[in-house]
Amino acid sequence: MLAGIAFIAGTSCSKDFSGEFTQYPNNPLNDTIWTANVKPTDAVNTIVTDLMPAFEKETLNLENTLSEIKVGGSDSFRISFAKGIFTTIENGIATPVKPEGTAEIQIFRIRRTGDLIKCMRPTQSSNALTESAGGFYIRVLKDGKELSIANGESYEIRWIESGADPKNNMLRFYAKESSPAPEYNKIDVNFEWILDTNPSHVYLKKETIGITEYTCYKTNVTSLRWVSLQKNVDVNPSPSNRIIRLTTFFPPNFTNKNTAVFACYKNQKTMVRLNFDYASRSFNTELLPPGAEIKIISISKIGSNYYLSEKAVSNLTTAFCINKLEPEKISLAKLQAYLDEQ
Amino acid sequence: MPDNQFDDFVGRNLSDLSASVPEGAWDRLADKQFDLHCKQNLQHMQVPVAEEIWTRISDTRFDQHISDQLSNYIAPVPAGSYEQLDDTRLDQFFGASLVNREVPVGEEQWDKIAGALLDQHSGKLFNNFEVPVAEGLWSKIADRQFDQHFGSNLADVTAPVSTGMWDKIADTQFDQHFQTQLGNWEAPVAEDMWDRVKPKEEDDRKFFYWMRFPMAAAIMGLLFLGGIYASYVLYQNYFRNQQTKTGTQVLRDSSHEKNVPSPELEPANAPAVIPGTDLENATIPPVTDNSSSNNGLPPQDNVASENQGGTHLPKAGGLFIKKQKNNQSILSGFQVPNAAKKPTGSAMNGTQDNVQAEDILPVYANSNLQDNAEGFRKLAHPYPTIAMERNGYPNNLEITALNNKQLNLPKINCPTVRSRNKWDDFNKDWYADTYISPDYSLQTVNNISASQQYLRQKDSTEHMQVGFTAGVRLVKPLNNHLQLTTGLQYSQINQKYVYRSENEIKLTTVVTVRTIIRAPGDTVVVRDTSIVQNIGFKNKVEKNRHRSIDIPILLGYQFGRGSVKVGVNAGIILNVSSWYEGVILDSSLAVVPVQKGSQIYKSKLGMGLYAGINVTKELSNDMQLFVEPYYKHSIDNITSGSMPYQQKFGTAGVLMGVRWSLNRK
Repeated sequence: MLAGIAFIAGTSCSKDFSGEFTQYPNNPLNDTIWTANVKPTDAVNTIVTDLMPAFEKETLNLENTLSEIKVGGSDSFRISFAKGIFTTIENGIATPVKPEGTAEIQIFRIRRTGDLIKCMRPTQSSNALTESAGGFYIRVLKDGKELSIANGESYEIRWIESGADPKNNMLRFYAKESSPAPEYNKIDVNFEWILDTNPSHVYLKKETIGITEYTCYKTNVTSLRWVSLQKNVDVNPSPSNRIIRLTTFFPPNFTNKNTAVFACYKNQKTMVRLNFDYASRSFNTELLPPGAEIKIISISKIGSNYYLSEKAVSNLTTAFCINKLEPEKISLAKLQAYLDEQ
Repeated sequence: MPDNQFDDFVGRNLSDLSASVPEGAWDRLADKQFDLHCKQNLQHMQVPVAEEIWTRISDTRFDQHISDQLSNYIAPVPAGSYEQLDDTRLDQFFGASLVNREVPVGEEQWDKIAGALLDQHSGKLFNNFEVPVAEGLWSKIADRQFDQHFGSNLADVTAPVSTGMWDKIADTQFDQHFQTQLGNWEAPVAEDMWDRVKPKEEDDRKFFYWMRFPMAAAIMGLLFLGGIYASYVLYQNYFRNQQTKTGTQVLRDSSHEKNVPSPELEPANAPAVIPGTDLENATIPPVTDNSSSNNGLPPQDNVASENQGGTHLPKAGGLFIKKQKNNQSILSGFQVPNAAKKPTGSAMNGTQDNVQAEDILPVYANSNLQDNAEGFRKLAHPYPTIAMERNGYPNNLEITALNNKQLNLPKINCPTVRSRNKWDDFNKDWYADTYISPDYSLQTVNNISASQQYLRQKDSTEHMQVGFTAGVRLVKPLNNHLQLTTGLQYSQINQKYVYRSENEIKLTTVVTVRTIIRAPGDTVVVRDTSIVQNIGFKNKVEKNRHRSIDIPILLGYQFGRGSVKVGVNAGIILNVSSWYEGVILDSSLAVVPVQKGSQIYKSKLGMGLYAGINVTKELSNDMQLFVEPYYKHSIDNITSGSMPYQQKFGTAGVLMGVRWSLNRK
């Protein structure tokens, strides 16, 4: 009977226990390995697709002598197309488009720094940091074909910059893209802002909308797709002050395959994307000038989960700045809302 | 205030409920007008009462309110309602509503009620009505009053006994009934009662009196004969057991063996002493010794049996009573006094210090002969009379007879010693069991609305494990074989719940070391403690425990002799309380914990069936070990109605325990 009691005690009163943890072999959260070459299919390059909003669409009457499009129905961004300025390009041969019928206009506006992060088109041009007054991505489609502006033709844009005073010395920038050019919501590793050949500054025009007087940018541009008004960031020309190296690193779960890091100016539309350093498993940039008031923002995508981290770095005075970021999980909607506030 | 003005006023002002009533308006409103208005307008109005309002109204206030309002209210009964109301509904209503209501009866009210009406009414209503009599009420009723009442009312009443009624009454029930009702009944005897009692010898009509009730006489006769027979059988069983026990002890006692001559020494005498070979009827023939006959004793039954071939007890040999101090066993037998003085070695004259005759008479041990004799007189009447009155040496034939008897003497059925006390002891035996059992349960699942995937996953995740039962129970033997058992036991069914918990996050603290280049030729080593998250699964194991407290009610039948007995127990298991702790699959196949008191499983499981085979080993008079393999089966499901399946358990186990005698001797 004692044996029975001992047996019962042994079998019935044992503590609960749990089994060993078994790691999923292919789950991205368990992938802590950095890569020397980030592929377009890596998660970090799919973030842009998730973040980018849908186009704003307008209809253009090609038969009108001059068609002014108020994008989004607002006077803050107006585009005027003259009759007969479009061509189609096939196999390098431009064919004028007959001014008949209508065309569809697809527009994504870059109004805030958050829009720059969404489209991951940093304000960099030839390793120089620029300040943007805004920009847009515009595509004109007729019968499913993408149209271009004919040589020697242009279209006029007027827009009122949001969140900042208009600047006098803005220039026109177009994009150098990969060929074929990816869609607006895809990452383009070859993307770079290219200064327009027109060296004149963008004209500032005062306009009264309702009872309020605004100063808007008014200029003619000669290209579609990515267009921006930018100027180079003022930097101290001293070479010693030029070398500011901002370095960030993350916990092992966040690698260059799933994380994008941006340094954004607090008070202007200037954003630089940090490059990854495979050797040190970190991200860095040397484009930031001394004294910049910046905010480091990282966006990670691991599996279907998003992570966000933010860290303000005030007054980059030291030549070497290392920051550790610890992203936290965030929903896509909240992440988009966060970027809309930047 | 005219009605139309009032209506206008109310219409205008109550559209805004917060509007104040103009000063003096209420004073001008006559009560009758107000009542009339409310009656006209609010007669059919139903105002919902907020739930918390009812809780604030105490019963007494409510009663008082209703009593004040409706005490004199006579509600008109719609035409035809009484015709629709049948008697049973009316009775039921009044029975429920007025059962404890006392209404004073008007002084002249009783006079209006005719006796026949009342009797008829009461006869219908209270025909089968039983009212408990308050304690002490009977004592207030004088016998004469009672007799007078029944004498006057029931004198001519003859109630027929329904057919078969007497047959349904078992003898034991009948006896038990009278025993319980009249066991301690003392009827007061009237003062002149004794004077009226005739001497026994004069009452020669008693026999004929019974002849007037042949059925009762037959029953009484059967009961009497049955009682005698039952007493005889029970006593025989008991006595045989006692003899067997004692005899074994005596025959194995070496001190007796060395003094008892070998039967081979008297081969010629043996046939003469025990002529018969029929063991049941074998008797020792009467010895011709003068002193062996009645020896001046008054004639007694046992003497008569002696003459018929009963035991011829040794001359002057009293009853041998010896207590073996070493083992405290009770010995039986006869002793030949002065045996030590007699020369030994002669076969014919050889004496016996002790002559054991365990089958002859049960004798309780005493320390000396005199005490033995006294004790024997008290305990074993009438045989001791014979044994004690005889003097002198024992006759050789007697001794030889006793010696032979010891070897293989036929059994002598002595007259029944009053077995009343033994019977009482037998019936008053109680035992207490303490036990524990390893159990293994099998579950039965019946699908109601669960998906097959759910059932498959449930089946694959749940694994039964060894549980246990422990408890105490009380055993009441009804006779040599039957016994009733009840008690309280705790049971625990264990279930191992193995499941795969997906998307488990494992956090690991790591230290990373980075070598960061600040400038060409300038590096810095950054050590960082970080937490790495890994995702995976765990094969989790949980223990589900179904616990219950039950009351077993079992009827057992036990058979076998000696120290080992085998029996069967069967009956029901009444569940007192049941609870569950563990995990369970929810409808989305996720594992969710179930805490004690949840509504998923029933807290009372009703009844189960029980059957077991009991093996008992007696260790001492007061203690037995027992093992009882059993199986119990739940009749009710343990799951509540909200579950998409029904589940019940069948449990097998082996009770192991100790049975303690509560009647320690």
